[in-house]
Formats: sequence, C-alpha cells, structure tokens
Amino acid sequence: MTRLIAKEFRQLMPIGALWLAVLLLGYTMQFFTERIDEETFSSWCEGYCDYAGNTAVAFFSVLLALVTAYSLFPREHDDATIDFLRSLPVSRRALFLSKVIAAWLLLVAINLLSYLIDALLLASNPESIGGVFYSQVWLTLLWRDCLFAFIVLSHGVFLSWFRTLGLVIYAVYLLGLMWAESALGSSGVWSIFSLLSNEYQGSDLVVNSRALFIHTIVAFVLLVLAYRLWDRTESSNAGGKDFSKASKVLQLVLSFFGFLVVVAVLVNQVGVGTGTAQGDDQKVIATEHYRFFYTDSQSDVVEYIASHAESDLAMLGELLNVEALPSMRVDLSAQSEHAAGLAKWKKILMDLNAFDSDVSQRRVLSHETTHVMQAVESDRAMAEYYSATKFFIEGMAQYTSFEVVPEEGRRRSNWELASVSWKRQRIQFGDLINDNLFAERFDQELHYSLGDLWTKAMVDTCGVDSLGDFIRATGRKDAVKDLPAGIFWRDTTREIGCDLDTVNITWSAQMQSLYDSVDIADYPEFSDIVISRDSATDQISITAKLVPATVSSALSRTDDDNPQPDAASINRTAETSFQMPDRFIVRIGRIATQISAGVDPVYRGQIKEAGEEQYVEFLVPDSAVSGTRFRYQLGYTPSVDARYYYETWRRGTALSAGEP
Amino acid sequence: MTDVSTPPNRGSAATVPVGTVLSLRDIRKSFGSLNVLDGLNLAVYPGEVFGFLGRNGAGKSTAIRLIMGITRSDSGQINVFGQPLQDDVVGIRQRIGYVAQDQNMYPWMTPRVLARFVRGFYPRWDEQRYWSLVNDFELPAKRRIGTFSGGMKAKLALTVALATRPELLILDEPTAGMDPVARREFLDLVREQTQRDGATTFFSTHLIDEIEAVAERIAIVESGQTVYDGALDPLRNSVNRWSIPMSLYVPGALPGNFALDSLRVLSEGERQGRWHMTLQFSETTLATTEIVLNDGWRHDVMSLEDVFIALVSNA
Amino acid sequence: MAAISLLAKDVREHRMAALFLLAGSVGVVLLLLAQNRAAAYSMSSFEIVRFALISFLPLITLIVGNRLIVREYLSGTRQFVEALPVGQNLPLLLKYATGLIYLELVAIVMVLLAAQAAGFADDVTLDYLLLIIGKTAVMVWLYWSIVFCFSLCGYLRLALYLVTAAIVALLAFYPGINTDAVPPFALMDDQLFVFERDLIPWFDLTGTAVLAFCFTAAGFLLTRIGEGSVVERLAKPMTRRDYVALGVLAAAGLAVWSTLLERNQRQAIEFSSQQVIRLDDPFVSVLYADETYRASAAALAKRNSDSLIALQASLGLARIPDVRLVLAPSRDKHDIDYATADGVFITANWLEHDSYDDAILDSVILHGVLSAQTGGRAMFEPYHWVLDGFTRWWVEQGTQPVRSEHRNELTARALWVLDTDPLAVDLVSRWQLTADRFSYPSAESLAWSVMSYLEHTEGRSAVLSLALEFLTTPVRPTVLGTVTDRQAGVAQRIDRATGMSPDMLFSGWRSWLDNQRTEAGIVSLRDRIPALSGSVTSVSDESGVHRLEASYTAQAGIERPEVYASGLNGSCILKHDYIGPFDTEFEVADDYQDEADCQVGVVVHSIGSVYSPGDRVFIALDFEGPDFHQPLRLHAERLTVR
Repeated sequence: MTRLIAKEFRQLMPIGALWLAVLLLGYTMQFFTERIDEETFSSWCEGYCDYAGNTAVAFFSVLLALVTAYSLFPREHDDATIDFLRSLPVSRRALFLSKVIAAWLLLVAINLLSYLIDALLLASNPESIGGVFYSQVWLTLLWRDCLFAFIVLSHGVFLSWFRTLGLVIYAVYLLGLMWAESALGSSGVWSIFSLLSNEYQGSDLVVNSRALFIHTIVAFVLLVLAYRLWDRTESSNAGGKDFSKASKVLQLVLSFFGFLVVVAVLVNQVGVGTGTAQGDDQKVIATEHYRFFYTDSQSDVVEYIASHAESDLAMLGELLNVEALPSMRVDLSAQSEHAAGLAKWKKILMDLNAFDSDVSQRRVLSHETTHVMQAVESDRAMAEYYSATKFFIEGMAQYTSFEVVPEEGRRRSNWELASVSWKRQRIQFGDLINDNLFAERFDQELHYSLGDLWTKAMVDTCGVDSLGDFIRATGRKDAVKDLPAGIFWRDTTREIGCDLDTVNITWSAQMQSLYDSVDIADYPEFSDIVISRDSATDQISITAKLVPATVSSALSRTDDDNPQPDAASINRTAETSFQMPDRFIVRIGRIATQISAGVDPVYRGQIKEAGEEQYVEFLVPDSAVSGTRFRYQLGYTPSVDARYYYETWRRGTALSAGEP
Repeated sequence: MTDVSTPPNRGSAATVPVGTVLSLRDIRKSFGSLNVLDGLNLAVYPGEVFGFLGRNGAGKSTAIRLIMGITRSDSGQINVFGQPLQDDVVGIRQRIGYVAQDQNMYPWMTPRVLARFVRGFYPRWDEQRYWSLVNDFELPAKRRIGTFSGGMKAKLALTVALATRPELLILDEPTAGMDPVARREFLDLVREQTQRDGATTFFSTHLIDEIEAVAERIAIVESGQTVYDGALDPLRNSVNRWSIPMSLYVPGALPGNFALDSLRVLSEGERQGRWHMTLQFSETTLATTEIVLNDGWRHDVMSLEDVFIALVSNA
Repeated sequence: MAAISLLAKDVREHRMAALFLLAGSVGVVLLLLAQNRAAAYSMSSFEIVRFALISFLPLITLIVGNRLIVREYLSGTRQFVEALPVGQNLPLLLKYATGLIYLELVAIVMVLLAAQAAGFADDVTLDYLLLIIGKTAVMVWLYWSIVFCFSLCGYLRLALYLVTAAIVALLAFYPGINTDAVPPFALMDDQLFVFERDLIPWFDLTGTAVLAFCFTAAGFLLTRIGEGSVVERLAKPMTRRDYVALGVLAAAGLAVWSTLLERNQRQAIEFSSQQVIRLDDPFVSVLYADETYRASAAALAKRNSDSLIALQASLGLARIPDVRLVLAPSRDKHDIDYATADGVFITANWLEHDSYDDAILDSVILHGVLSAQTGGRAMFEPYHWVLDGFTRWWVEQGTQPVRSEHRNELTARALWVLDTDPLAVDLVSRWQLTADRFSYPSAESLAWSVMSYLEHTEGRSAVLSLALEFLTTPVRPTVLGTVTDRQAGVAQRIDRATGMSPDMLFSGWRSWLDNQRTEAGIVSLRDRIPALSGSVTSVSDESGVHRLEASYTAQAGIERPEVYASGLNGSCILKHDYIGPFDTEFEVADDYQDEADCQVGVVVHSIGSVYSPGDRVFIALDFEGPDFHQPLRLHAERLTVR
C-alpha cells in the first residue's frame, strides 16, 4: 500500500509544485516587506482566525482541494493506465484508498508547511509581550483545516466521476446555499463555509463541532459512493463504449436534473411581480431633466414631486455651483425595504411608501439628485474613496435636501439623536472617515445625521461653495489615487482652501451645544442584560432593564466649561425618572460565513412587567445566530416619530441551557 | 446436419475438471447492448503452452481481462489454480504474469522506477532475472517508458511478467505491431523461459503461425463461444478437405464411405473447376474408421490456418 | 465545399457540448436575474449581463477555445487535417469564426434575456439595447481573441493565462493605477456599463477592439512563422528547459512592471487657515484657530523649535521631519492624539497645561521625531525604552537643568514601580511587561531615571551616545533585517554605547535611586501614593446578568484601612476595553471607565451588561489625584469573562 501511495505522490508532483509555489509566493512577499516584531505578531492570522473569518481564504482552500481531487482519477482512466494498476495483485479498495490518502496527505503537507512557517515567525519574537505562542488556536486551526481539506477532497473525488458536470453540480450546491441564506435566513449547518466560522472562549478557539461531525459523515458516504462509481468504470480502451448504458442514462438524467433544479428555483422566483411591458397602470412623466416612471395608483404623489422637481434641481445646482445639470431617470415603482432611495450614475430608484408625507418623498428625490450630481461632478472619484467619504456623501445629500425641502421637525430629531450618540459613544472625526470600523462599533444610520451636522459645520466654516468645490477637487486631473483616508481629507480640503481642523473644532463645538440642549430623560440606557436560549421554541431571548442615563457612567471625567468639580459630587447624581420609549429593536450581526449579500437582521422588542419593574424582551430566532457567540445592538425610539437610537455593538453568548 | 464434433467439455459440465490451472465455465459478458462473451468454456492444464486463437473482436482480450479480474463477468465461473477467482483475487494474481495487448504502463516511469514500483507486489520477484532480461532485450534502463517503441514496451512488459517467476504466464497478443525478426526472437524467449520455469503459458493471438510454433493445446473462440478446445494434432487430423473435378461430381456424393452421423460438413463449394468439401470428424470416428476414398476424390493438404478459417467461418 | 465539410465536422464533433454550454449559461443567467430582482440594491437587469461578462463568460470562452483549437492542435488529428487538400489557413480561420460566432450568440442571448426581464422603469429603448449589445460584443471578441492566441501556444497557455490573470489583478487592485484610462477596464466600469446611456464610450470601444485585433493577428502570425513549426514545437510537451525559460520570463516581467509603478507624487499637507504660527528650519507649525490662544501657540512653537535645533546639533540628525500641532480646545487635558501624516501630526489641548503637562506634550512630539528616524519602527523594538527614556530626559534636562518638582514626581513614581514589582529593574527584557502592568507614564519614569543616572555617572555624552546607537539608524523592514538585528542583542549595544554592561548599569542605577528615597520632596510624594491594590472578578448574578466587580484592599501595615481609604485625596477609576483573543501591546484608553471614591472591602466598581462569557477584557484600576499629573495604575489584568 505504501508503494502505491508513493507512486500516487509522484504523480501528484505537478499539482503539489503549483500549490507550493502559490504558498511560497505569499511568504516571500511577507518576508521582504515585514519585520517580525510586535506589530506583525498582532496581525498573525488577520482575516483568517479573527471573528469574521474570511470567505476568500475559504474559497481558496475549496479550490485547492477540488483541483487536487479532480487530478486523481479522470487522468488514469483516460490514459488507461488504470488497467495496468488493476492487473497488479492489489485489491481495488487499496487502489482507491491509496489515491485518496495520497491526495489528502499532500493537502495536509501544504497546510502543515504554512502553519510551521507561521509558528517559526511567531516563536522567533521572544521580547514581545505576547511571547506566549497560541498553541491551542494554532493546533485547532491546523486540524480543522486538514479535516476541511478531507471533506472537500471527498466532494471532489465523487464529483470528478461526473467530469465537468460535477462542477455544475457544485455550482448548483453553492447557489442553493445562497438561496437558502437569502430565503430562509441561514443555510444552517449545510454550508461547508460554516465549518470555518471562528468563535473564541477567552483565548481558545471553539470549532463548530456539530457541523464538522455532519460533514465528515457526508464525506465518508460520498467516498463510498465514489468508490462504487469509479470501481465500476472501465478504462477508456476497454471493450465497448466507455460508460455502460446505465451510467450513460444516469449522466443524462443528472444533467437534465441539474437544469430542472435551476428552472424550478427560477419559476417560484420569476413569478414575483415583473411588470415587463408597459401595463395600462404604468405611466411616464417627463420634465426637462427628469423622466419619472410610476404606477397609476401613485399619480397624485408623483404629480406633486414632478411639479417641484425642476425648481428643487435648480436650487441644488446653485448650492453646489453645478452649471450643466444632468438628465436623470427616476423609477418610482420600486419596492425596497432597505432604503428610501438609491442612486447609481444617472438612475434613481425611490420607494414611495418609505415615507407617508409627500414633502418627505420630494426631499428624498433631491437627496438622490445630490448623489447623482456628486457622481457626475467628481467623475465618481468620491466613490473610489467610499470608505473615507461615505459619511460626507450621505451627509451632504441630507444637508442639501433639507435646505431645499425643509422638514425642521424630522431634521431636529435626527440632530438630537446624533448629538447624544456623538457624546455618549465618543464618536470622533477619525471614526467617521473609516466606514467599516464605524459600522463595527456604531449604528451605520448615524452617517446620515452626523454627516448632515458635519456638512453644516463645514458650510459654517468655509462657506457653502466649499461643498461643490470639494466634489470637484476629488475628481481633479492631478489628484493622487488611493491615499489613506486621513491624508485624502487633508489633501483635498487644502486644495479648496478650507482647513479641516478648523471645521472639526467648529463641528465638535456645535455638537456639544446641541447635546446640552437635549433632554437627557428621553435617552435612558440599557442595563442588566440577560441572554438565554430557549431550545424548546428555538429562540434566543435578550432581556434588559432601562435605567436613567447616569451622567458619569460613560462620560469622560471633566467637561471644559464647568470648573473642576471634586470627585465625590458628580458621582451618582442622575435624573431618577425617564420616559419609557415606545418602540424597541435589536439588530443582530450577520453570520460572517454566509456567502450571499445581505443586511443585518432586526427584531422588535416588547415591554414586559415583572413585579413593579418593567423590562424589555427581544426574541431572536435561532437561525440568526451560528454557534453560541453573536454581536448585537440594542435600540429604541426616543420619541414617537424619531428614528431608532442604537447603543454601541455588544457581544453576546447564547449558551444552550445545558452548557455552563 | 447433426453437430457431432462438439468438443468434449462443451456444454454444462458442472464439475470443475480436476487438475486444471485455469478453467472458465459458461462465461457471459456484455458491454451495453453488445454481448462479447456468450458462454465461453476453457480448461488449461499445468505445464502446457495453451494457444487461445480467435479473430479480432472475438472476445479474447475481454476473456483475459476477466481472468485477470480487471473487469467482472456478468455470469459464469472462473477457477484459477483450482480455486474460484473471487475467493483470493490478490493471491491468484501474485502467481500470474500478464503481458497486456497494448501496454499502458506509466509513461513517466523508467524501467528502474518501474521495477522498484512493481517489486513490492510480487513476493517471488526475481531482480537478477529482471535485469538480465532487460540487458538481453537491450532496453535502455534510464529512459522514460513514454519514449519506448511498441516492441520495446512489449518486451519490457514480458520482462516484468517473467521476473515475477509466475506459475501462469498470460500473453494477450504480445507481438502485435512487431516486425517478424523481433516476433521470432520474442517467441523463442517465451518458449525458452517457460520451459525453464515449467510455467503454464496462456498465449492469445490471431496469428496462426505463432500458435503452431509454441502451443500444444489450443482453444478457438468465435463470437464469444468456444469452437474448439483440445490438442493441436487431433484438430489438424479431424478436419480434412477433399476435392473432385466438377465433371465427375455427383451432387450429394461424399468423398468416402463415411456414416453421415459421424461427420460434419464444414464447407463445400466449387473453386477452379473442382468441387471442394471440408469435413470434420469426431474424435471417436477418427480413431476407429479407416478412410477409404471413393474414386475421383483427392485429399488436399490443409494448413492449420485453413482449418482455423473453416472452423471459425462455420461456427 | 471543403469549408462546409470542415464546418460540418466541427459542428458534429462539438454539437452536444455547445448545446450544454448554452443551456447551462442561459440557466445560470435566468437564476441570477431572478435573484437580482429580489436583491436589495439591484437597479437594472443589465447589471447581471456585466456580472456574467466578468465571471463565467471567460470560463465558457476557455472551454470553447479548448475544444475547438487546443484539442485539434495538441492531439495528432492536426496532421490529418493538414493532409487534406485545403488552404493552409482555411481550417484555422473557420475555427476562429465558429468560436467567435458561437460566443457572440451566447452573449447576445444573455443580453436579450436581460432585456426581456427588464422592468418598465429600465426604459429599454432600442438604441439603449444596441449600446449594451455593442459593448458586450466587443468584450466577448477580446476574450475570444486572447483565448484563440493562447490556445495556439500549446503547453505555454497555462502559464500565459496565469500571467494574464496576474496582470488583470495588478491593474485592478494595485493602488495608484487609474484603470479608467485602460480601455477594457473602463468599458466594464460597474456603473457606466449599465447606466450611461447618452454618450457612447468610443475611445474604450475602439481601444478594446484594437486589443482584440492584436491578439487575433498574433495568433494567426504564430501559425505562419516557419510554416507552423513554432506551433508544432509548442504542441510538444515542455522540457525542463522551457519551464526555466518561462520562469525567467515571468520574473523579468514582474520586475519591469513593479519599477513602472512609482507612486505618483503629491504636495505635503499644510494648514490653510490664517490662525497658524509657522517656524522654519526645523519646520514647526501650530494651528490655534482663535486669536485668544495665539500667545500659548507661539510659546509652544518656540519652545519645541529651540529644543529640536539643539537636538539636531547634539545628535547630528540629518533631517528633522515636519512637526504640525493642532489645538483642539474641547479635548481633555491629557488626550494627545498622535499621527504620522507627512511628518509628526499632533492634536492636543494645551490651554490648561502646567510645566509638567507641557513636558509630557513635548516628549510625545520628540517621540514622533525620533521614531521617524528609525522608519517608525523603534516603538516595536525591544529597545523601545531607550526611545521613551531619552525623549523624556531630553525634554526635562536636555537643554536646561531639570526642574526639581518634575524630578521628584518622576523619581517617586519610579521608586513606587520598583517597590511594587522589583523585577521591573531589568529594563532590557521586562520593560514592555512593566508598561503593560503600570501603563506608559510609569514605565517612562523608569526609563527617564536610568538616563538621569547615566548622566549622573558617565556624563551627558553617554546618554547622547546611547541615543545615537539606537535611535538614529533606520531599521530594515524585512524579516532578514529583524533576525540580523537580533544577533547584536540590546545588551551588547548598551555595553558598546555606554561602556557599562546592562547589569552594572541597572544595579548602579538601583542603588543611586535608593539613596534618593529619603529626600524630602520625594518622601512627601510617595506618602500620597495610595497603598492600595485592586482585584477584579467576573460574576453573574442569579438572574443571569454578567458583571465585572472590582474592589480594593489596603496593603499590609495600614491600621484602619477604611479611614485611610476615605482620607485619600483623589478618585479610583476602573478602565476597561474588549481585546481580542491574542495578547499584544495594549494601552487601554479612557473611553470606557467607571469613576468612584476609593473604598476598601466593598465592591467599588460594577460594570454590568457590557461583556458576556468568552470575551477577553483588559481591566485597569487607576488612581487619579492632584499630586500626580498622570494616573497611577494600582492593578491591571487581562480577564476572560465567565
């Protein structure tokens, strides 16, 4: 048997060399660009072993295993060397096993090599504070990767019998996962990527053992099936046609079946309202710069919007000093529960039942029009710095739309909410200019109101022309590409002669005065949070009490304007009463290993009584959480028509009843 | 016309003939709609060189692949070294040397690597013999098999087969594509080596002269069935051809005073002004009756090839 | 006639595969269209056409190329075709045409499917449809011509595809390349491809077409050279020599490519407001934003400029990086934000600073200046304490004698650290852990006092030579650099610079420090350091709320601890933050803290509902009082929440 494995290894040499080359290319690049010191140590397995896990790495290991599997059997049968093997005095099972074992050992060797190099790099840094080398995490990642390689290898060996059809089957499997994730909320344990989800208990990595167990069983079953299939297959020059009649029929059915599955998934999807032809109830109104597409039932709102469209556009043009106003198409018949409006280049999409008042709809149009102007005027340069400028893109659109279509009540309540978040969660300009980090710590919707306030500060500091100048400055010919966020902002503001630091100083002063005018009683805090899992109803319950905002608990010690109070006095003085908000919400962080795009799910909370005390309970379905660790954000509406005020993200642990 | 000359072991002899090295009982095998073997029966005895004769596509290679266990028969019983094949396929194969029809050894291997690879599977592997044969055949030890010619591959395959000191040597049309000189050299070597080991040789070919040079007993297979299974000489004797000038021929006449039930007319027809009749006698009639020719009939000499063609075209 | 029979042969040979590929791609496109309609941010069904163009259409082109051309050329059948009585180029031309027509057919079917699935609001007019079809057709032609050319390169094609993929990835992701100037990329722009309807991208279309034509011509040329001998040669399996030649080719290509990509230059960032004080050589600029703060900004600028000039003279630094300071009046007094944007960039609020606070600010500035000399890596090296010690020493007594109250506070803090953790004396290997346990201000006081001792025993030149040894040579940013640096350990380098081995240095320093223990100023300060130690536990009460509870205990020798604790002048603060599973250098900020009066024997701080089981949290218990400008860390711990 070992002799067979040795021969298989010799045959896998080209594939092995390829994977080795890819691996070493990565390490040589790191070798020449990084020092192994404290900074490199802290980012050892960044993107792979951190909380979110990295689907790109997962896809690479799947590809690695599939290509290796595909190079095992088809070649032997096509070159008919399988007959030579079969004529040797060795059992068919030994032949099959030697191939699978050789391929798996190759993958294990590759994994082992890359982990050994990591270990060498990490252990070579004795003086670092983290001198301790995380052997548990290292070992767990290693054996999990080897098991993952085995699982995908068995998929590959089975699929390689179907040759290219096998890849179609795997594509249908992946599409099925994406469909399950978008339709049912999660593909649960059936997605192979859920095997690579990382969860930490302190410094120890916890693996998704249930999923691993199920997938290993499936892997062994597939291997047995593959053995049956490959064993019955004659080599290419055996007497008669390559495939026996039965397997030819099987192949035809499978390809037909694959096609049927695709069409079946389509039929129930396509049925969803596709207004292709211009039905009787669909209408078009064209103004000088706009073409509105809408359904008859909305005609009164649309007429109101269309009547003001040109005048609003003109005001926007003035605000941003845009001479050539762009011509746009607006689709008002869209339904999207994610956004009131959306703009891509010169096309706008609006959901007319997002807001009930016509004025708000009109404001959304000018908001989206500002986006179009931003894109056209900057030749989409701002979009290239999306992470650094997202708050300003949205903020400027809010500012201009509120200037053109004033809705003081809504804007005011947005501002108040933003000022409380700014003060209580200590949001700084540095957080605003990094969209991903912002989304990881704060509520992403804050970009709109905080951006509006920051734009106001910029206009107050450098005048309203600075907005248009900034857009055009990002798209200017000699603009440098791919600058870090901080430097991009300083470089562009310097270009338009508006000092960023002065703007920030004005902004924080304005935010502070806005915060002082807010009634703290409207903004209580959540505390005494209890998370428990109710396996009977497959739900996770999060309960929390509401307490008045204690001034000192989250604030930094001193404020500038009031003199240095002695420590004792401000300790626990706080308002005792607060208004109980009427609507509560919890937002759960999306499962990191899902491959389909999507938004963080949200669930309503209810007020419950316990004795004389009131508390809020949120019920979250089990499917929203993979494993026991998840991230959540609690929120409530401070006043009736206000948006939700979210506290910062928290980490939760939903231990099932049994676990300690 | 009664079919009298059925070979003795045709039909449903349930018992396994004792002392055979290899016996196939009523083997059937079909690929999809094409049934290649349709009730094949064979028996090979120890120490003999057994010729396995048949036209291309008659199912010879398939039969051999069944014997080697490379493919599986649909029905029928295969016994090798006296025990059923399925019982110990691996053990049986250790005692068989096999030279396939078209050599599909690994092109990237060299003879040296091939030896190191194959050695592990055969307990009775004989390294000196392998290298002496390689030198005899002047095979380049270090060049890749992929660059070998057809003949060189066949010689290498034979070298490997013989180096395992097999008890049964199976050759499946080994000399296909060889020039006459190489073929003769190959056959001499087979004869010389088998005598040295006392091994049984199962030689499958469609070239009659090879059989005559090497084999003692033969089986002729046609469209999946055994047409003849027995020694060479009785076959040659049991089939004779007589001819009579057309002018003297009386339709329905026989060359001699034979009893109709003891013979089978393989073929008859007019060629170059004479009427030819090829008859096959059963073994018993051959032994007992004396052939008295009617007048006018002349006995034509038949080569083994003529006999083969007569038998095969008539099956 | 020959053409028809050749065509018929290709059609018969590939009919099943062609049908299967067409059906497969139509199926996938239909599925994507359905999913696109349900997707939240989808605006047009033509986005799917673009997605298909950049995802699976290249794959289909590869398959078609493989079947039509590679199989013919790599297998033996080519000799058969060449033997046929037909023109040399005809078979190849026919294959090229068949492949191109088939792929254009697949692409156009996709576009029509998208058009059929488009909603009313997509406003699919005829000229819009033709524009999309035109763009798609040109892109498909480019794909087919690349595959056609590479397929003729026999075994080289795998390497050529890899090189092309690498170039595409480099063009798309490498910073500093403007892909809008490269035709195929500009054509496939994620928004212009679908949503730009009015102006037709003639430049991009012709650019892509020219590129496609070049590849096609290259393909046909390849077969013409030496009457096809090149193609013949390439069809044979590659010898080792070919692989080597290929490797050299690829390496050279990459090297040339990376030299081409020098980063485009930009001007250094600069304050554009009027309220700025600027001093030149070394460049120090301070933005004060309000006239009332002009005086303090001027003083700050002058002070630092003089200090840097003296430093440049004494250390012989070639270049001092630009220093920019921004006054942020709303910031907390000690909240100094440090960044390296074109030199040292510091945002702070120095309005209420006394001389000690100013010294802290100046040492942060100096820290940035000196760290820049080592390419910004000194703070990650084991001799980080030399950087911190020297910067504080230079600010305190580099140009003028040290102020006694500064010396007392720093020495008191150093003595407190050594009394609490005697091991901290070995700065070479323990300084980082001391900083982690006692926070940077305390660790800095240790490093400063070592420098003062060195000045006291060996004179000022020894301190300067120590700085010269460690802080003026740029550090090599490669793994090899780290390993070779570690050969010459910190200990030898200290010995070389100061003439004293670390043990001699540290033991001498220790006894020198002990002698100052009884000085009046220091004794009074040390008495005001609270003799408290803290402890933190992670508890969860019966209702399931997880809390972190911290309490203090007085050290031995304190008679009535409660009275002692309440008599302390200052408050106890618990600072906490989430850290990941890995322990690295971590400085807990004061974002999340709980301030209370110091009490003993009772739970002083209780943080609930912030962390849950499995989180690893860094917790520090600090004491802040009027006597010390910076907090004293009584306890620090990395805790896993139960």
